Amino acid sequence: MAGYFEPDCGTAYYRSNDPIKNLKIKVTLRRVSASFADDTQDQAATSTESGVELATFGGRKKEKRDDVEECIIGWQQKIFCQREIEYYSQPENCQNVLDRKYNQDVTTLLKKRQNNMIFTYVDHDDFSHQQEGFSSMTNHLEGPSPLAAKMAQVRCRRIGGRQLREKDQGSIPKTLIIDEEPTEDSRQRSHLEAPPIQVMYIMADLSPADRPAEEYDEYVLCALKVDANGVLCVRPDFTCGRKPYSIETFWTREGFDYTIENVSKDMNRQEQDKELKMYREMYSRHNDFVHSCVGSEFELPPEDTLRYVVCGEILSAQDFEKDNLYIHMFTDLPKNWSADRNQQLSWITQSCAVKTVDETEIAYFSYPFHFELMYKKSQYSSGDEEPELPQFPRLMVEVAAFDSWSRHYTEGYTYFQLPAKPGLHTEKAHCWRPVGNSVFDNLRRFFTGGTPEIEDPTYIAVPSTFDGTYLSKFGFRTQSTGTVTARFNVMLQSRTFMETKANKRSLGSLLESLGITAMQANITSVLEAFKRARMKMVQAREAATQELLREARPIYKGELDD
Amino acid sequence: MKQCFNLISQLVKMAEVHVIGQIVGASGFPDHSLFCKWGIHSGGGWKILSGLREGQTQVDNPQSQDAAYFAHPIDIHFATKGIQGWPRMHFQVWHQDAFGRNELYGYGFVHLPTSPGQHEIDCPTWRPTGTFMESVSQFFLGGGPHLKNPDLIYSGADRYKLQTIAMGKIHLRIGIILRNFDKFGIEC
Repeated sequence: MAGYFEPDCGTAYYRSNDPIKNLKIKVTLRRVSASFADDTQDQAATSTESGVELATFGGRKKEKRDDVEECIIGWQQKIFCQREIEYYSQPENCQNVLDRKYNQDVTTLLKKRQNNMIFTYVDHDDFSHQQEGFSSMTNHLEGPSPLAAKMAQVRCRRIGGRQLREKDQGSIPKTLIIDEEPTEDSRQRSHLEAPPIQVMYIMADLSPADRPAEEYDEYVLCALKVDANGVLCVRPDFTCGRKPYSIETFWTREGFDYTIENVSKDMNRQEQDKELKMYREMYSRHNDFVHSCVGSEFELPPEDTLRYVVCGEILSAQDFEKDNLYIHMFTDLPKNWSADRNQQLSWITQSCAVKTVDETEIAYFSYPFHFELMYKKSQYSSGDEEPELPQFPRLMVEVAAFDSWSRHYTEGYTYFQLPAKPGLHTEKAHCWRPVGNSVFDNLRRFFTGGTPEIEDPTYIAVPSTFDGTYLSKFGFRTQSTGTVTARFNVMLQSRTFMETKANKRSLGSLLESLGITAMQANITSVLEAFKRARMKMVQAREAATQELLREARPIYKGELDD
Repeated sequence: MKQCFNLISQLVKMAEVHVIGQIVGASGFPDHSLFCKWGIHSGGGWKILSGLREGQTQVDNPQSQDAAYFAHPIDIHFATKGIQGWPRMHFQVWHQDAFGRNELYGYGFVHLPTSPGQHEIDCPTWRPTGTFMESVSQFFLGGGPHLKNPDLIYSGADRYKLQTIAMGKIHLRIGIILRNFDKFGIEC
């Protein structure tokens, strides 16, 4: 036994979108050897060692069986074995609808006696449910351990599987989705999502001729499983010209060989082509439809500009002195930045009363805003300026409070530097408010609510009037107040990104991505070369004219006449 | 059939956005037993190819924890022809009390993230307040002012007229997948 070649009988997976009912399998079962003599073979008188002829055992003899049996089986085609026929023909064994149906089938079949070896168990048979849990792992036909028995119940398949074609979107059932008192059975079935599979087993009844068939004489020839997604598992695989599989029965030590072949009818070539064409047509129609809903032109910014899109929210403000805060903000555009006329670039939020969370007083605004700006370098630098990094815009923020007695307080000023890198950014900015020089300003603020405000709102960051090299805000007295939190989603769009798409660096150097300076560099280098050439030419001409002038002398009257 | 999929996808390029995520839960509200109505609003050039645009979660009543957990799935597929009108989500958190009355607990608004990847987002919420007498009656009887037309709030122009008070936070976990955006020169 050890050392004989065992064919590889792992599970094979096949994928097909065709309906499973077209599947046809041909099984051929052949008896290879007999451990005792058959009735038909006693021409060759077999004698034992002691020379005594042994009579075969009496008892109910079955019909003589052929040595070879061949069968073509369709999907979920039920073929009965002898044991099942006898079981179902007795009406007291039939409990439920399925058994009664089998009873009917069997009584019509009993007209002719069955002596086939090959039979099937289909999806709704008991065997299909128990087999998964109780199959023995070794060839010693052990019973299932308690763990295996429990595990078999965990993944109980629903009978028949779910519908093999699933719907597009999940459906929310309109009736009660809560089952107040589930039965044990439904609890087991609903515990885990049952995979929608259908199974079928092709079995062989290999009981010896002299005794009635029992359950342990049934051997699985082939187990088939079909998934809702068109995946067919065949275990063992089809023997496509390889050696047939062999089974040795446990009790009687007989050997059988069998082969499994797929004999489903193929679609002929024309129909295959037609089907392919139809699918293509369908998908292109669907694509056109979807495309027409959206429109074909994607909106692109004009040439050589960078579009800067920010979608953001002002989230919250915390740790300020007064209640009923609101935020007033606007964007500050540096040079070379422009915005469309109907973009809203300044916003006022609602006023919000604070609440106390973890010893901080926080007001939630959750105020969405969005805008887009264009960046374009207005003229090409003539080469003597250093190319400078573009300065990104800032969001100037003023936090104010408004009382029920209509006192108005300025609670703080701050600014957000809008990020240059695309993505999601959450920023916190701390605020300050200006204080006056004397105690009267504080009294005024407390009683009537006037606070010194800054005149130039851009003073918060870099004043717009600032032009020098050294910014000093010394002497301006302020007091720190609370914190403002905002979230920005930044996107950049430019045609030059499309051209450098092959370069997979995400942002790299901003100037390189813009491509303006690259182009500029090319153009300036050309201009430089041109200038130099021109200079050379001018110099050469100058030199030539100088030469001429030097060699020139006044023409005397008589010289030209020669 | 795989060949025709590849063929078709190369023929026509649209920019697409997949939003796959969940509303994880809500925390920081004064009382438990909350549910959340949500919706996604996008600009004119955006088209929803599949997925639900709005919905309502179940009522969650935590016994011992502070936060209510909804775990409500969000799964939408957009196609667009422009960046304008990037989708925004709006939320309304409601409280259902023991008598079955529903009371508004907050409004929240958040933009969907524009960069691909997984994002954990907290959306703070606020509720409109009325006068002092109204807040007293709200304490005893429930109810309270609602917005007449929640869509007005998207533009933000009229928000300064509102008086509100801060409520809790809604937690989201959103994954964004973008398609073909780099072919139109967008860096995100």
